[in-house]
Amino acid sequence: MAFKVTIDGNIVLEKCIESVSCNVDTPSDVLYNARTRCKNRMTIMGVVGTDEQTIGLYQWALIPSNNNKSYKKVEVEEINEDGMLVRKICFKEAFVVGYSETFSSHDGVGYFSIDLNEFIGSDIECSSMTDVSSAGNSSSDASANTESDSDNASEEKASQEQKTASVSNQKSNSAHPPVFKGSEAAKGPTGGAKLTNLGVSSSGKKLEGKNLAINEKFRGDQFKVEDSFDASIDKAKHDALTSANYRTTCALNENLDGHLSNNDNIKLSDKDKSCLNELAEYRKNLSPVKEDTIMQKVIDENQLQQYLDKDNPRRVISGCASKASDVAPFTNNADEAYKNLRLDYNGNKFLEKAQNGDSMYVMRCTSNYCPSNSDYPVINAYTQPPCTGTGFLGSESHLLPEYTYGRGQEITDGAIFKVDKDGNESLHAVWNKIDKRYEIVE
Amino acid sequence: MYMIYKNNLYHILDEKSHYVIITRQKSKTDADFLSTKESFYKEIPKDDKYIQDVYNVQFFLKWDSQLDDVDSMWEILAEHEYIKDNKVLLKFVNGILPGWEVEEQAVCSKYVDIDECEDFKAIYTCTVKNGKVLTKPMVLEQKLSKDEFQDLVLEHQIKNI
Repeated sequence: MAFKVTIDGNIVLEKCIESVSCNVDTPSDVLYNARTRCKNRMTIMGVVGTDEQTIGLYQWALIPSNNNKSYKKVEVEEINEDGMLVRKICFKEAFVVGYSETFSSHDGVGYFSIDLNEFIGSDIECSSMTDVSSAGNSSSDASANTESDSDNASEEKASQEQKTASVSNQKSNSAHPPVFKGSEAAKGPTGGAKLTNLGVSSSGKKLEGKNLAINEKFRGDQFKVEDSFDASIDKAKHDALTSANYRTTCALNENLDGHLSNNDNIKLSDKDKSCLNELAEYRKNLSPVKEDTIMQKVIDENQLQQYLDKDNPRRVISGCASKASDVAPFTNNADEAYKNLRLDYNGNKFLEKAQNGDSMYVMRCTSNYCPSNSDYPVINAYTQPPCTGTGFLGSESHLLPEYTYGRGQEITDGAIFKVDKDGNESLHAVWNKIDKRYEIVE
Repeated sequence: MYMIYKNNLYHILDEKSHYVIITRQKSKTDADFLSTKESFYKEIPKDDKYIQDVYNVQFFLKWDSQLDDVDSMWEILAEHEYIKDNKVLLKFVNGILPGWEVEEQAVCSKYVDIDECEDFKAIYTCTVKNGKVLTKPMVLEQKLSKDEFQDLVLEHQIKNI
């Protein structure tokens, strides 16, 4: 098996390539956006030090995002021993989301790894000279274009191609030493989880009486995608606004160590700035948070214990939270929550949960304090990525408004749910208005 | 929300038609109080003649971080972790300050010696004052000594109410 990678016609890499993996990530199982908002990723790994232009990859990774040259056409061809084209994949507007080089004096070899994303909405071409076509014909040339198309037949064809590709299609020439890849690190073992309230306590008991009533009031699966702010934005605008918002901050896991102490290195194109102005208008006109608006916040184990403490309970919601109606459909498990709520901040306690497919705790509550549409984290000298400063979380796929509760505002009612990797939700604790704390549901 | 009722401090629930006064101290109860495992509570009418004050209170102190663009006035909540062993917890909620403990996205904290702080004060927002229901909330600022400040914060902690 051999690879040929061509980048904008100038950089051609063949001998140095060791592996290529492609991944199509559909954001949800909701029919109307599962394909049209999918993310296409590619990771290319290889050896540094052949007589090929691997330095060109490094230089590409250094181009700021506001420079048009940061978007390049990438063609990958995979050729078998018979010289047949097994797969040709073309990203028409690829950009670098991660790059690393590792060198070792032990084996005297350097390795590179480059992570690419395709600009959302741009075409992906995928073709083969060896595969049987998805329609079942023995055609020698099966091709697909993942951009949405009004033609039903081609949509179906593309859909099938994408589903095939959604299982990470990795081909490798040889073993590669582990290389840290930011975008991959948070990719959990789960996918396609759907939030489903089981009507039981986290110990498995069927809910009754008061606990059942609280469960019904705060359950996560009552919040539907179509009622979220994200779904209210016209699709044509959605992707451009989401991408611009995403570019206001670092890539997922890029700042786990806190080395980016602020957002000063973020440079935005005029197109992005225009999108952000539009987004700011949306932010100003969000429906107001009211005293009975259910807010959602993913909490860590330490916070959970503070809320459950009998003698000195934590009685407030603090920091950032979102309307449950805006985020619950996009936080079906810890992995999704981690990515979409951008829980990848320095010092977070969620990375391991996301990676391991562990359960998470989600608090949904109300407060007499109603943050306004201008109450969100703003950029200052101490704001660290992944904070965006736009009023929207730095999700790569969705527009999720956030609000700040500062040091804390009193909770008036609420529940804490445990959500497993498949999205199964059980009631863990309920707010006791008299004791002013959460109490565990037996 | 807090209430002074028969010279005792209670938490309250404002249930529109009535108040529920709540305490964790048995000594503040009478025979009409009901109880959970942890708290004692009693419903009282909104025009109960023994209601003295109904208010919310915020506690502030001054501490200089020596960092640019960081306000020197800090709000201290009555949550239990804020005052411990002569130290006071400062929370910065607009980012991460160098060397401070990260609590969550854009929230960090640090314990400082309370002796390093000054300008202690409490700001009350009252809806009932001296038994009189106010048509507009009244805001009162009270300057405090360091010891008065600590006592007042501790007095408003849930376990002491």
